[in-house]
Amino acid sequence: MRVKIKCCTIIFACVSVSGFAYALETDQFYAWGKPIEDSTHHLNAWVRLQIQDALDSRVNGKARDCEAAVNMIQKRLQHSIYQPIELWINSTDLVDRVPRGIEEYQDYRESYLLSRTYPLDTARGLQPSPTLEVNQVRLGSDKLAHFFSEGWWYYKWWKKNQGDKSTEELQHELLLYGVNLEKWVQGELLTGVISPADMEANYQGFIFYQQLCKGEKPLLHQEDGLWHFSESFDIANYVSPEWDESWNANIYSKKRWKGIRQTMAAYCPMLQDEWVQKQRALYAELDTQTPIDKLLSELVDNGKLSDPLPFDISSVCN
Amino acid sequence: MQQVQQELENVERRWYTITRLKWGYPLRWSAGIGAMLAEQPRDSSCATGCAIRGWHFMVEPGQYGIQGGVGWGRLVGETGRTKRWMHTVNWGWAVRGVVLRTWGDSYLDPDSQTLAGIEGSLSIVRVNLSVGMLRSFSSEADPDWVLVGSFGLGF
Repeated sequence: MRVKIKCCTIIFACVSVSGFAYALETDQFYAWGKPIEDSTHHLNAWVRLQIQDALDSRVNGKARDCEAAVNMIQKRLQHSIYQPIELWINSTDLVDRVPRGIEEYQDYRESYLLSRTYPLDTARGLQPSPTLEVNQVRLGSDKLAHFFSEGWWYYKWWKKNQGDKSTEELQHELLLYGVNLEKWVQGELLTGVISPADMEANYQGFIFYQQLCKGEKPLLHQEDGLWHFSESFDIANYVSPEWDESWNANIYSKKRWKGIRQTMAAYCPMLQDEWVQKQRALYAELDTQTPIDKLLSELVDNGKLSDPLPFDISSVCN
Repeated sequence: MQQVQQELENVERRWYTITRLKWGYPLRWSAGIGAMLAEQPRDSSCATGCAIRGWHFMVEPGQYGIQGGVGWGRLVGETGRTKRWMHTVNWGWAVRGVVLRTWGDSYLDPDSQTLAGIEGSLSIVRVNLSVGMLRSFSSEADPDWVLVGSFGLGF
């Protein structure tokens, strides 16, 4: 019996700890000035093929309604720990990324933002995500995992908690739920990082799941009893400069910040680089205030969240 | 669209080497080596990470015996510079039918006996935990059923 209890405890501990596998970290500074080909078309193609294949699989036709079809799609796109889109990006030849190949990866692991570490650092046990480009925006591949994974969690929360709340109330509570996720196993608790960029990707994922069945032109439609995914899906419609962690600064724990500050400061001279200046000017032009920005400002003003500003490269370099 | 479709459809069967190093009951220290057969896109690489699933086998000599197993599993891992050795398993699970032969001063009574049963294995961030239930073929064995378990690195 004792052995059984011990085994169960160990299994439980391992499974619990596995939650942090969601929280793969990324570093867009590392990719500054390095050319990356746009992957929008390949990513759109992969998403369309996966979704249509899920809809056409043996259970197709059994999706009674649109929500049942959404559940089929979710099973294909959202897995428990590692997300299919991120695994595909890591192993395909088609998506250009930095780093690419084992030699570059080795260098990335040794010099990315979280590389200055401390004993028993949980974040270092995980593989950092590469940077890719979608419609001129640089993002970690982890953001696409967030989009499909935590986006689904948001969607589930939203469906469960609708009740008789107003849309504004519901949205506010949904975003707070997202902040709490990021404060717990998805971020701060295990890696010492709260990422507003992750929250932006989560929220856009939620919008995507909503758009599958709702709105004037839902992304799913039925023809002769079979479900089809719209050709109009474009990942670029969801991606914004807010997904780039070199633009949308993270909030770090004190312990984590010690190492990161030094690594980030090494990029200060690059702020004068032509490519970096051009990219940041483009971001300034494209960036808008999102509901996440608004909520985080409120939380910072109320003292419920640390201000991300001191962790921004412009503050570090000044 | 066509390029992605072609990549996903153009698959091949590949063998990946799987390994583990463990401490447990009743083998005490043991080292396992085996292979997993997986179907994968021809152009994909596991150097920096991929997911595979399929049938696999493993032979595991240890301090107090040797175990052999065949089963099915899936894992997310990396081969790094090696082409086919899945040396880093970030996450994975497997279920195996196993046969175990003990010897020497094993904890079992009698020391030398043959057992067979089922083993479940879970790997998270390189750490592996395996638990199994095996039945002895020996008529002198007491008890008949043995709960085995081990903890280590690998898959």
